[in-house]
Amino acid sequence: MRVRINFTKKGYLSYLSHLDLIRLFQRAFNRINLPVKYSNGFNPHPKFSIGAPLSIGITSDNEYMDVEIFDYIDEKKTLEMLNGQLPDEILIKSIYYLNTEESVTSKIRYAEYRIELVLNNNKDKDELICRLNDWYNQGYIRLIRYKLKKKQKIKIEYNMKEFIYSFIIYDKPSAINIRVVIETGQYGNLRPLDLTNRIIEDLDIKNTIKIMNIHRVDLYYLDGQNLKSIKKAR
Amino acid sequence: MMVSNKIKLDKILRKVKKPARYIGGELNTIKKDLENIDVKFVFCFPDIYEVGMSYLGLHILYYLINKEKDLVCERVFSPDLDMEKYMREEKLPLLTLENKVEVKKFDILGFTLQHELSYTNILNILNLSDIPIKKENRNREDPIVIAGGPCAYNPEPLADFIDLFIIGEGEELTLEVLNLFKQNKKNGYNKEQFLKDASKLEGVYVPEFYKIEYNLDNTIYKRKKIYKNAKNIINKRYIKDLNEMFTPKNMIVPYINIVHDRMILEIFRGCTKGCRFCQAGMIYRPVREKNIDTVIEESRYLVRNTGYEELSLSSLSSCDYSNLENLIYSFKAYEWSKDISISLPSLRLDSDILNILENINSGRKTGLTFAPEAGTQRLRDVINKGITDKDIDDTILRAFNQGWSNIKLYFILGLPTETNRDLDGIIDIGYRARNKFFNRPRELKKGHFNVTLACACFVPKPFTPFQWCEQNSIKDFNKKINYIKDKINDNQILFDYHDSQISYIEGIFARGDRRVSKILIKAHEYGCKFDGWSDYFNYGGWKKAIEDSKIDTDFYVNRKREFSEKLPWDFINIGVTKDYLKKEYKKSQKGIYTRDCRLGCNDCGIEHCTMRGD
Repeated sequence: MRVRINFTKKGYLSYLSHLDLIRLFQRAFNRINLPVKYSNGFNPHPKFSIGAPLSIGITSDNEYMDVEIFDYIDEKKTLEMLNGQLPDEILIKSIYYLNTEESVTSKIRYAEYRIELVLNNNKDKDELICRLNDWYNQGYIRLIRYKLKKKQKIKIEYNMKEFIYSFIIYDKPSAINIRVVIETGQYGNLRPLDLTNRIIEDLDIKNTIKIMNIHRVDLYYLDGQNLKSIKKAR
Repeated sequence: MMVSNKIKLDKILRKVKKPARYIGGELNTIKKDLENIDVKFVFCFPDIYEVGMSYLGLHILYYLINKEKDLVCERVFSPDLDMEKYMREEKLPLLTLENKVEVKKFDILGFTLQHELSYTNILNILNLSDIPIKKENRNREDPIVIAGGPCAYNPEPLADFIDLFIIGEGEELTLEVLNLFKQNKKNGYNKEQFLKDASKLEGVYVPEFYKIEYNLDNTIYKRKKIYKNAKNIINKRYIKDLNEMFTPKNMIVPYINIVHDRMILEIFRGCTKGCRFCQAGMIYRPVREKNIDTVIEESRYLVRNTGYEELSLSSLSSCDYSNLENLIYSFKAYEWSKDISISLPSLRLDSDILNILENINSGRKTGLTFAPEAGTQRLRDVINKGITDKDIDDTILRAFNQGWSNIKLYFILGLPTETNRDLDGIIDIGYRARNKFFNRPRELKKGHFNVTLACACFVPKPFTPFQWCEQNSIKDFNKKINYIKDKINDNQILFDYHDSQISYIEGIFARGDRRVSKILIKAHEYGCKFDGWSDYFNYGGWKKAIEDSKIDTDFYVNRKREFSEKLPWDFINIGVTKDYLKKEYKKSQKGIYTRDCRLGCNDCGIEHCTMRGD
């Protein structure tokens, strides 16, 4: 049996690495005696996995984890118990049984991020918004990746734009928010930091930005041509 | 003020390695409202988070103090190098983990002194907290700085920086000191009066109440009292009954990987083996055990409250617990313990234990380490390590036959009376282990074999029979290390050794007096820190610091002391008498073995010893 757990990752806990998060859940599961299935073999580990792990420093409203269990659980009770064991910044939003065979890892195709840019000088905002739009409207943005082929590091060139589904800029009172949906997962992946580093480098705005906050809004799968939240994949 | 600190912290967290070390908020931490607290105490383990959080004493003190409504205990550790760099750039002072308040704003800052090589980190932490390093430069607003732990048994090298030392076990005394401070604060804070009152508590040592005078040959002439009511002798403090002692039902569970990711539970304190190089074996006497029921109940709470899957039964020599087999089987009889694996920190070279562990840990093999300490029977008799070559070989073979293939063996180089023959003995043990592994029928040979010979450099410690011995010079250590290196010609026999230069620095502070503080200050100024880590150890900085101080450090490290000499730590009474240490030293010179005192009292001087039955 599999259940999916939808949770947040906020505040200081964004600094937990993926492995830290796994450890955190594993111990919480132990404390509430959640009937998690363990793998066989010499070094058994609990069978659960988090889809499209977040990089350190990025917060999220919607993360998804699949857990294999060997006994029935009461979803509501388990949710309450688990929230009692976890810090406030990691909030379990829902737990539900899965009917689908597809794992969260293979289901995820896109991720939506909100990139908040707080500038040193607010006066620079208007100009920067224009420049960001221009940047995105280029036809081709070169992305270089390295791949190991027969022990040789080879350079492969991509068009970064092919990984970007949408890119919308919002003008806020004291910040610029960029809402971007990018390809994520095993079929194609663009890391948000690669995107932001590129923007900062191309526009030379390292000293213009006071704070940059990256927040993952949700994860999506493809239903035909439409993007749907993973929440809907049951 | 506080708001801008948090903003600076956020900015820095994005740039450093493993930022989760600095965020606090871990499971079972306690965050109180500091406005309603009478005494704010901050506990500091002067090393990085991963090391400090593995120290059981931190968890004990944390819950001991925090259970009191009007006291608080928060934590601080050494920031890693990158964090420190950004903190200095941004002018962010050191903050505690719980409330992220400046360390400087606390009433009392307490350091645990686990090893001498953390001393530069202590100065660095004071510096990063904006607290003047020398206590003579501090004012009313600065926290009182206290320290305890095994190195406090020779507190003198730190006398210029620490206001008050806690000598012995801190469970009762720390609370007494904090409550005394609370009283003092209520009556209008007076630091001088507080220190005077505190010095009346048994186990408290206030260095500023004494002055040391030296002979022309630089040995100590006299300790003089400046404050007439100061004690002449400081008796160490210890807990009489471990079953009555406060033991936490919780442990703080870190987010990140730390050195010891497991529950740690003490099963007894003290040791009866009497190994002559070992300070812990002397200072933690008498042996006191927790009974099985206490241990099981305490583990039950820890399992429930932490979610850890491994439990370490901790003590100086866990296999000597009088009812170990019984304890382990009783533990395993419960439902709540079925998925918990048990580890014992160091194993006696005795094959029975391996059987027990095999049965209870359902195949999960934790690492196997043993400590023969010396390569030949002769030298083992000198140091009073009562195991034979047969014990070593049999146990190792047994371990291999039960499926272990990696073994670590601890040795010490530079022990008194050591010759090349003894070094040959170390190598021989390694080769015998190798042969034992391979000279077995094919079906039994499982896994990739290797044996590690891990050699430390002997640094004589206070309150041991060897406290009068000279430490080997750096040159001699290196000669011995190279001798062993050259003779090992098998890449499945690994040789690990300590840096002899680091051991030299350790030697200065292990048996130093007050005057070596000059060197410490200079070393700190030259950027020395994390001295115990060989990739950070800055020998050049230390050399310069020693030159600047114009102190002959060989005097402390490489000199043989006479029995008649006044030692800097003589004013502390650990229960074991100096006469007993002298007797043991003389026996060592003749290679005469002193038996385990569980088998019969050796009259070490301890009163009220449970081993004797009183």
